Amino acid sequence: MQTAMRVTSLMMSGQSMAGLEANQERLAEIQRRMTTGKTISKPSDDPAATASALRLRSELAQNRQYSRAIDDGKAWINASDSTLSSMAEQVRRARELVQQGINGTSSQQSRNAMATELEGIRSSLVGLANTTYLGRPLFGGTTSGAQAYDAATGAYVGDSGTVSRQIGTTASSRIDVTGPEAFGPAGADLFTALSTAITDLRTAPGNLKADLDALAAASTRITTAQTDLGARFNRLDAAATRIEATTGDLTASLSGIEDIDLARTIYDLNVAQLSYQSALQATAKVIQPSLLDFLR
Amino acid sequence: MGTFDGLSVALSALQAQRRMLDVAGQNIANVNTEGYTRQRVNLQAVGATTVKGVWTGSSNSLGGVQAVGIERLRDAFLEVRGQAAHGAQGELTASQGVLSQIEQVFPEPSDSGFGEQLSALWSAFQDVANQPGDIGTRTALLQRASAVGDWLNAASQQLTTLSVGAAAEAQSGVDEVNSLAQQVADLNLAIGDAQHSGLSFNDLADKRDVLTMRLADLVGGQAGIGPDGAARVMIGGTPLVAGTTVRQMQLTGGGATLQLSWAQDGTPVQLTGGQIKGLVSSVATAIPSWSAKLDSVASSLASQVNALHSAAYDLDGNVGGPLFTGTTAATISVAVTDPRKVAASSVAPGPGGPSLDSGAAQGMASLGASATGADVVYRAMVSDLGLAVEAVTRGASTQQTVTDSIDSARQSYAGVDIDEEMANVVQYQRSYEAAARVLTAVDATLDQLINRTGLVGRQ
Repeated sequence: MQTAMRVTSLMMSGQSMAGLEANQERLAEIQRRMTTGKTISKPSDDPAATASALRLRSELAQNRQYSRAIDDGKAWINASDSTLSSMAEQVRRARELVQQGINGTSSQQSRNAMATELEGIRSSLVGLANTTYLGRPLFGGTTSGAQAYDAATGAYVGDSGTVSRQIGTTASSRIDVTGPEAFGPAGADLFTALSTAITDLRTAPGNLKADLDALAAASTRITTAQTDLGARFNRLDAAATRIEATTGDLTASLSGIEDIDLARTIYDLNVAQLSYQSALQATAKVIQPSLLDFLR
Repeated sequence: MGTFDGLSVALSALQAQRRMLDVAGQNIANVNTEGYTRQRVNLQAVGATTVKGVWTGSSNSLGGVQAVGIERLRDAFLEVRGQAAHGAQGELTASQGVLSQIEQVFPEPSDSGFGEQLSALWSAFQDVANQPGDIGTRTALLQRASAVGDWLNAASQQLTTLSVGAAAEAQSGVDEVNSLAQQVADLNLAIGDAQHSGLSFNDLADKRDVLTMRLADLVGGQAGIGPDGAARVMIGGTPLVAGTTVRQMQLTGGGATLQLSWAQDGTPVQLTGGQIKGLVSSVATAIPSWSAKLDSVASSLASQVNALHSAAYDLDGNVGGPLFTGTTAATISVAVTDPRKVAASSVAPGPGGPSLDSGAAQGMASLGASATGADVVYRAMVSDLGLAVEAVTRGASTQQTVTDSIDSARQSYAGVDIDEEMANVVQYQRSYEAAARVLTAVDATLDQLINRTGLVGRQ
């Protein structure tokens, strides 16, 4: 029957070494965490947290994507809105001129002068309708051409495609208005109305009343388009605010998963250092003495 | 009883104590020798013969003491447990080593990992969706796609390199096993010879124990000592070493078909543990399975992007071909080189020319949020890999504790304790002094008898 376990010299030194190595390993791991500031350096450190971190990172990247699309969309809407504003201004001037033409006091000579001014306004309006944003005509739908309206004839050369921006996982918002939507359908649009008015000022002042009505309708259409754009801008703004808030939440969650708790880590580091030092002292005390020290 | 018997008894005692001192010295000398087993002198009192003579009478004979042998103090049962533990330990450590290296191919979560690269690709698709007519964003997209393809190629290459490295390690292990087996057979022969000649073979036996333990580490061999003193090393029921006969092993095939078999007849070796088992199963099973998972990341990326891209129209109004070629991680690459040929539009060209619609590009950008997309497949793979490494690391660490405690018990039984040896040395020294004192006493007695007795009448 064995009474007590024999403790041999190799056993003692082996166990001491194993203990010291375990202590050092722990110390090194805590130091790695302190210096990198990250709790996870490889998937096996925490597989579930790694999966969450990857998902959060991917969601954050998507949010950045949506943010960029929204910023781009807002710039497009702003450009469209300011173009429509200056066009509305000029249409008002065109209506004034036609109104003056209707008045019986104006002579044919002055009506001819009005017609000339109106020609200038028309070509300016066609130019504005061809305004581009980053090389694309704002009112040309998805055309790959450089213009929405033919500069000479004022005919619509864009297409009926629409431009949208993805502003959420499933939500997307239209950001453009096409030429026909803002300026009227082909054949009955703003530029045709102006052409007719110019001709009528010169040759048939009796038709000017109808022309004024057509211009009033065009003016209303532009205002309606601006209202639409304003509503879309607000929608993008709301989405941007929502994404900003979500991004904050996601970043906080990611930091909670990946980053160290500094106070906790410093505490762990001190505990590990203390335990390493104790192990060293114990080893020094235990390994040294043997019967040899007491034999004379 | 003879007159001088006392002298010979004292002499035998002196010799026996010296022998014991020598053995204690040998033990102390080998306190740090790996595999050394402490030895002890077995003493026996020399007395009367057990068979009584009929015509001779020496009933009260005292012959002193004699050393009948030097014994190795080793527990055979602990040795067998040690071999089993070392075999399991070797397998787990090797598997863990390879799996940790696989894990290093996927350093997640990080700002430069594959997850971020995929996000950058989806982001580039989004930029093209925002600016479908811009050549710069299209070029950037092609570069992002190339980076993703390159990363997959590199990861696949790293797994192949790992597989080759592990197979080479297994091969050098097999070479070592064949050499160790031969050495054990040679020692069996030497020990047999020593036994027949009545010589001590303790040091040879120590050496053989070290070799069989190494065989346990490598292939989980179980060694037993037969009645003839020869060691027999079994692997999965087949003897690797029996007496002086050795069966060689060999590695055949490569990659998923790597196999360890007996050189003699080519039948597979039924491994029960050992580093080689861990390495062979890593090369044949683990690495191919992670490689297949990486391939499924590549194929889901290629098939989803290509499905949308092939149905869309490029900047010149032509139908786009596949964006990626290849469906495995090793072969995937970007097929499109001309940025105009990136198909972003889901609307066919009209009379006014190609459409700047960006529905297709938007669709591809949204693949990043798809529940069955490459991101999800990759995330699941990384998470599985993390779990696998965590499990095998925990297993290896638990087994290490078991192995350490058995090694400690073996060491406790067979190892040298300096305190014990020193106490013995003191005891043997005192015994030697006592025997010398007996010799002096007998000498003085004889002196009394021979020189001082019968002096009556001497002048």
